[in-house]
Parts: sequence; C-alpha cells; structure tokens
Amino acid sequence: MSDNQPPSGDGPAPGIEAIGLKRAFGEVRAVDGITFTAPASAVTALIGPNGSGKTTLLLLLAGLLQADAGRANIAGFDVAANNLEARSRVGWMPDSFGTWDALTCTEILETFAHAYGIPRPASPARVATLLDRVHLSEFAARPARVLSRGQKQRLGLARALIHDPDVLLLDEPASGLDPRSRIELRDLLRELARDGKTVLVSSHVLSELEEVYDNAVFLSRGRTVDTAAQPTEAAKRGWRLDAADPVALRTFLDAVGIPWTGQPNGEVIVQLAGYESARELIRAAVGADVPLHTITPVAGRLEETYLSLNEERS
Amino acid sequence: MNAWRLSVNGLRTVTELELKQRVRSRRWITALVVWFVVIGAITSLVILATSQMIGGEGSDQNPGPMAFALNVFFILGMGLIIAPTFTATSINGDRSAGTLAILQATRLSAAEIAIGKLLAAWLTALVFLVVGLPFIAWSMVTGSISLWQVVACFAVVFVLVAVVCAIGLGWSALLSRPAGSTVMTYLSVVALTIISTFVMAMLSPLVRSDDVVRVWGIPDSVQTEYQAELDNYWATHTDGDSSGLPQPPTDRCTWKTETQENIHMERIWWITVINPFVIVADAAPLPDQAYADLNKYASSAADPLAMIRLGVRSISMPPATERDDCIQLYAMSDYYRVDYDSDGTPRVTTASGNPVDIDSPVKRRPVTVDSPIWPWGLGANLLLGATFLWVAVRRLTVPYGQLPTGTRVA
Repeated sequence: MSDNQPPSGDGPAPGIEAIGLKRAFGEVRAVDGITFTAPASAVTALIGPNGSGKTTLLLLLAGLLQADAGRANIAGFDVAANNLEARSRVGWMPDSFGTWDALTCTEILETFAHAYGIPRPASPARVATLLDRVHLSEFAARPARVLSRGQKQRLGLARALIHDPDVLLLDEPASGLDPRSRIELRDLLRELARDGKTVLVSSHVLSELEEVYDNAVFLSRGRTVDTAAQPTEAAKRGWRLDAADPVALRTFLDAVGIPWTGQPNGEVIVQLAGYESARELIRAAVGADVPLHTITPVAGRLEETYLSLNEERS
Repeated sequence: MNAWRLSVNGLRTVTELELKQRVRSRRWITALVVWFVVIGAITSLVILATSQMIGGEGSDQNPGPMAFALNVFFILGMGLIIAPTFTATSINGDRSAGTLAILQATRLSAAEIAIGKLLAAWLTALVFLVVGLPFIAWSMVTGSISLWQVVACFAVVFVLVAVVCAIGLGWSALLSRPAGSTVMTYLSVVALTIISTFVMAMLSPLVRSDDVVRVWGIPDSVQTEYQAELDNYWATHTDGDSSGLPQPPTDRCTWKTETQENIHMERIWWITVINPFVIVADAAPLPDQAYADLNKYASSAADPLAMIRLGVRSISMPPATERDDCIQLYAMSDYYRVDYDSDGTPRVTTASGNPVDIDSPVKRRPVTVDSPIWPWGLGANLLLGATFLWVAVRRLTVPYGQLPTGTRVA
C-alpha cells in the first residue's frame, strides 16, 4: 500500500506545495501561474482582490478541479496523480455551501464522517467533539435549517474538520460571523496550526487575518505576487497618534518637523518609515513631556500590501 | 479508476443521506396517502367496470385478466411518471443548492454518489408502487390470476422504474438547469412509450412490398361458376334459408401463384420492443391454455396482456409465403365453422357439428410462445439505463477537466 504512505523525504513535507498552477475556464485564465508553499503548523493567509483566483486555487487544491498546467502536493500527495489520497487529507470549506435542510447537525456531520470512511461506531463521539468545538452542541439534534448564517458557517467548519485533515482550505470562513465568533475562529485556527495542521485561509476581512497569519500569499490576476518585491518595510506607512493634550502634540510635531494631518476627533496622522522611526518618535515625545497615549499603524501590513496590489489594477 | 470505486459504506452513506433528506417531510406522508387513495379508486373502478363489461350470465369470459392487466398498466404508467421526479433534478439541483461539491470533495467516489442517489430514488419509487399492491392482490383474487404472474409483472415493472430513474439521473448530470433535465427525462419516457409506437406505425407504409405467394384456391373460372350458383340459390330462396346452400367447390382447389402486397412489419417490429408496456405484457406469465394456443386464448379470453403478446409476436413473423383461400370459403359461410388444431391444421364442421372432409395443404402458422421477446426489450432498457448512469458517473468524476457550460464546481 505504497499509495497510502507519503513520499519519504528530509524533514516534514510542507502541507501545501503549488508549482506553476494554471487553470482557465474558456477564455478566462482564472489561475495563471501560482507558485507557493504553505508550511505545516502555520496559518497562511491567501489574499487578493475579487477575481484574483482565490476560489479557483482552493478548488484545485481540494482536488475538485484539474490543473491545466503545473502541479500541487497536499501533505506530500500529488493532487493529480493521487487525487483520492490528497482529497482525504484536505478539509475544504467553500465560500458558499448548502446544508440538507431536513437533517440535524449531528446527522450532517455523521454523513461526512461516514463519507470519509471513519468507522461508524467511532463517528458519534467524533461528531460530538466537533460540535462542542464550534459551540453548536445545543443544536446537535436541531435541523440545520434553523441555524443562522454564522452558525451554518461554524457547522461548515466542523464539517471540514470531521476527518482530522492535515490541510485546511478555508474560503472566507469569517464571513457572516459575529465578532465573538470571529475571535473564536481566530483562536481555533491558531490551535489547529499548533496541532501541526497546515491552514490556508482566504478572507477579505484583512483585519481578521492580521492577527492570525504566519505567512501570506498574495494573488493578483491569477498569479502569485512576489511579496519579497513589495516595498512593505521601507515605504512610509501612516500612523495614528493621539495625546491627552492635542495641542501639545501638534506643537511637538511642528517643532520636530514631522508633517501631520489633523483628524476631526483630535487625532493626527503622520507618515513614518518603519518601526524604528516610530520608536524614535515615541522616545522624543515622551522626552518632551507630550502626554502621548496612542500610536498605532493606520492599516495593517496585509492591508497595505493588499492596497498596493489594488493600485496595480488601475 | 477511482471514479468507479464502490464500497458498501459509501453507497450506504449516500443512500441514507438522500432518503433522510427526502422522506423526512410531512409532504412525503401526504403524498403517499393521496397516492393510496387515488390508486385505490382507480383500480377499484377498473375492477368494477370490467366485471360489468365482460362476462356475466352465460358468458365463459372472465373479467379478471382484463382488470389485472389494466391495473398493472396503470401502476406501470404512474411509476413511469413519478420516477423522474425523484432523480431528474438530483444532481443539478444539489449543485445549485451547494451540497454536491462538498460531497465530491470527500472520499466518496463518483460512482458511489451516482449509484447511491439512484438507489435512494428507486427505493422511494418502489414504496409508491408497493402501496398499490393491496389493490393488485384484490384484482389477483377476483380475477384468479396466478401469484407467479403478479410477481413476474411487478419484478419487470420495478426494473423498468429503475431504468427511468437512471435516465433522470443522467439528464440531471448532463444539463445544468433542473427544468431542462426534467423536460428531457419526461421526453425520454414518452419516447420509450408513445414515440416508439408512433415511429413504428409511421414506418409501416415504407416497408410495403409486392411479394409472390403460392395460393391454395379455386381457379378463376370455377370461382365464377360458384358465384353464379350462389346467386341462383339466393334468387330462389328469398326467405333466407341457407340449409341447401351449394357447397364450396373445394374439391377443385389447386395451387396457383399470385402477387400480394405485404407490410413487412418483421423489419420494424423491434422498435416496439423498447416499450415498457410491451415488455410487461410479453413477460407476464399466462395460464397454461395460453401456451397451448396463444391465438385461441388471446381471441377468447379478453386478456390485454395476451393480446399484446400475440400482436407483437405476430408482427415479428415475416408474412406467409403460402395462403389458403379455400378455407376462407368455409369461414365466410354461416353454414360452416372453422377451427384450428394446436399445430395449425384447419378443421371444418357444419353448423350442426358434422365434420367436413377437407384437404388443405396450408396450415395456419402458430404464433410462437417459446421465444420470448421481453428479454430483448428489458435488455435494451437496461443498456439505456446503464448508459445514463455511466454519463452521471462521468459527470460527477473529480477532479473536473472540462466543465460543462453553465456549471460551477461549487
């Protein structure tokens, strides 16, 4: 049964390895050369504007779509040559999916436990654990149609986790979730990464990913963008400052010669190059007795990179 | 191939899922109750109506076979109508509901999804057919139909319903819109039943030809003489007394050749074999006397199943190359009665029962009952169903290469 053993190699195989993936639908080249690696035990963010090929990429990785060119490995298994083995190691949560209205949450999850070949006697316990993990235990015996959108989303996540996959592909998992559920999702993703899973998560709510991601893959027009070439660190970023005495803050900034723009609520925005500049600014402000209490980047790093991708769109 | 991998667990998973989703609704119970009432009303009506029309005082005809045949045909017809509703939107409907791709992403194979869906739909359709069984049992008892006939008829009906389920599944995989696949499935059922018969009927003028046949009959001159004798007799017997009617000059019968127009149905009869109603009729076991002489049984018993069987098997035989006109002379006369032995030898008796010595060299050809045509029809239907199932599996196989136009994976 050599098919069931991952190819042996040095060190743990990366969870996802994509090399030159291409896929076109007729004239539309949805994925047009994607190369990246998502390591195990980490959360990798998949970022790109609408139509950049995120969903198609996830379909390719989930083993549902054939690539026109290139190849992809899931937990060491080639998605094309060893589709079934790769598929059984992926937990895929699409951006939109349906539920069987007449079935209870437990029945839906048990169906998927059986579909993944989990022994039938073992599946009720597995289902109960997962329902608890996504905080749906009280809905275990309720039909799926009574669930809210966010609850359905959590059920979908449980479904993707039912067979304890090595690799998780989550397409916009946070959409429809309330803030508390988002935080729980974030913690769950971190937990999964700590357990050694490879987590690839796409989202347009960048602030969500900001706090959870270890690596990021940027897509634009179906291609991976060379993130190393992105001038993220050197370029100036906007920082928001606020002080107990706004006038003193403004006077101080004028004195040290940093251009600022005032905000209606009293805050000011300044442009600083990197964390080192921010640190210097704080040191100087404290030294000058300015009652500074807030200094924070206007946008996250992901957002800044994302915006720079959008700029190239125009 | 991974796509064709089949496991008990996989089939069970899909079938259970489909059945739970379908059965767990109030509508299902309501539909069954309505169905029970409708089928009960119709079959009762058939049994009552046939008992009024056939048989009664002084008749040796039994209304049972007619009632049974009509009821079997009604249930088959309803089966062919309801079966498509269980599969015709099964795959494209799931795709638009967003429940197909997440199943395809699991370890389930395309064949497990397709066959599991087929099984669930078939079982559902069978429940509807089984609801009709009490009424069939009733017509079996009142019509003294053999249990064997009931079992055989229903086995064939069950298989045919499975074929229609498979056709619906195939269309739902081929077409992206549920409305389109529903229409195509019903068109397929109509093609099997009505259109096939229609096509055969419309083809029949095209298979006409003039053939040379040997005729055992009286020469033209003798015919003229005999006709003159008859005219003479009737001119003198205006009271209509036929007791002294001149005997047909059958002693002067002789061979001659004639050109006769034949419709060669034996070239096109096979089109009708695809028809589910023909298959059921041909497969139905008949009483023993029907096997002894199907011709005699079908003409006397008022049994539509036997009549269809006789009709189909008759048109499958090429037209005879010999014809007996002499026997027709007896048959046309009120004074004589013509019967046939089981081997086709004609026997003529006078109206009063005295045998007449005839010397006809032409036997009536018996219609064969020992070479059934229903296996061909059922086989063709199964092949059709298998083809559509194959299409469904192909269309469900992941990873998708070419995506059919208008469909999304998820």
